[in-house]
Amino acid sequence: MNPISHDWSFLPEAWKYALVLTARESAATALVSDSLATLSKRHDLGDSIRARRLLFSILYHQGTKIPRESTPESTAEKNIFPLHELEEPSRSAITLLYLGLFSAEHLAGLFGQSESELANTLSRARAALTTKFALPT
Amino acid sequence: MSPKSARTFLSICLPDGPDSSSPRFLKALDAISRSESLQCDYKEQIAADNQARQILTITAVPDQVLQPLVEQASTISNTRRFTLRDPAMLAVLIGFLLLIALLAWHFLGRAGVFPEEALAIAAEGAKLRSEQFEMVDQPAGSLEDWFLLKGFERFHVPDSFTQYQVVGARIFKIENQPVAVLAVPENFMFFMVFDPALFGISMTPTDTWRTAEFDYKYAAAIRESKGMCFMVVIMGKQKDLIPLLTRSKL
Repeated sequence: MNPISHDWSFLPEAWKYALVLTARESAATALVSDSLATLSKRHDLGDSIRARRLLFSILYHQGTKIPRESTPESTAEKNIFPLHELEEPSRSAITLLYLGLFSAEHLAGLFGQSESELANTLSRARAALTTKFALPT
Repeated sequence: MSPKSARTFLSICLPDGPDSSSPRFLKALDAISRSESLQCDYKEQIAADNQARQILTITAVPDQVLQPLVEQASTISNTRRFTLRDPAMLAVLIGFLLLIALLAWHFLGRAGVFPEEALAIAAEGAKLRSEQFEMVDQPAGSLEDWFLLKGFERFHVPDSFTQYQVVGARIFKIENQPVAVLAVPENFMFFMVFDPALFGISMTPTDTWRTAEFDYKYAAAIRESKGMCFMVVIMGKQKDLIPLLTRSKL
């Protein structure tokens, strides 16, 4: 297997995010592949940080158009299903926060929100997850 | 930073995330340390987040999935490619063409505008009175030697104006530069001949007429030919020049 080059070291996180959006492993792979194909047509990739932001932005805009699944099948799909069920943009915001790739500023920019709006979005996601997992509040 | 805004900021970043080493994050931690309830609330958030993050941590990406994606990504160049379809390149190209067009318009005759310096010469010439001229009685085209004797070289009248009968001629100076002036009784015209370079006048393209009105009652037409400017000044409007120039068209 080829080692992941430094520039694309975020591909596993991209696939996990795609899995949250699609709740199907095959669909997640197809979504990342399609997003990479879209990315390859751009002329303004610049450095790997910009490429990462663009890739996740494409994943967000393409992935949120995919209809939700009602039942998970594989173990991985079952794992992420609580996240998959969240409403957008809470689902994407909390997933990307947990993946730890973006600063608060970039995360807010990705969703076109201010920091206080992002805080509210994440608050709704946390509340919904608390209910699903019966997390301590 | 107030404790409330600090708490808001801490809710949008993780203690081990990209912001955790920023001064703002450290200030926020310091700010909520003054409030026990906010600190307790933040600790609960961290605990809940850690539990929820396990969802993603335990999710492994299968090798057979990752491998093709890595290969696909490795074909993408991260360097900026300059192609004509790049919007940035298009913007630069359009800007460059506009700059060229603007410079061409400015330097190549200012799109046929009557030179302001020539208008000043026409205005001075139109003020001359008949007694200020030396009497001559010759066609305009035969005055080259007359002006040469007066020290004015390269006197030139377009062929179609050579037959106009002149009753007075002189050289007068504007900005200490010579201008040959001819008084023509027909249409109460003045012909003026001068070297455009001496007045900083540049007329490109040459051999084309440009007309203008000035002082509310005069109209002038000018053209450059063979390195000299020939100007006709009449009492009237620009439209009154048209038959004259049409008839005199070379």
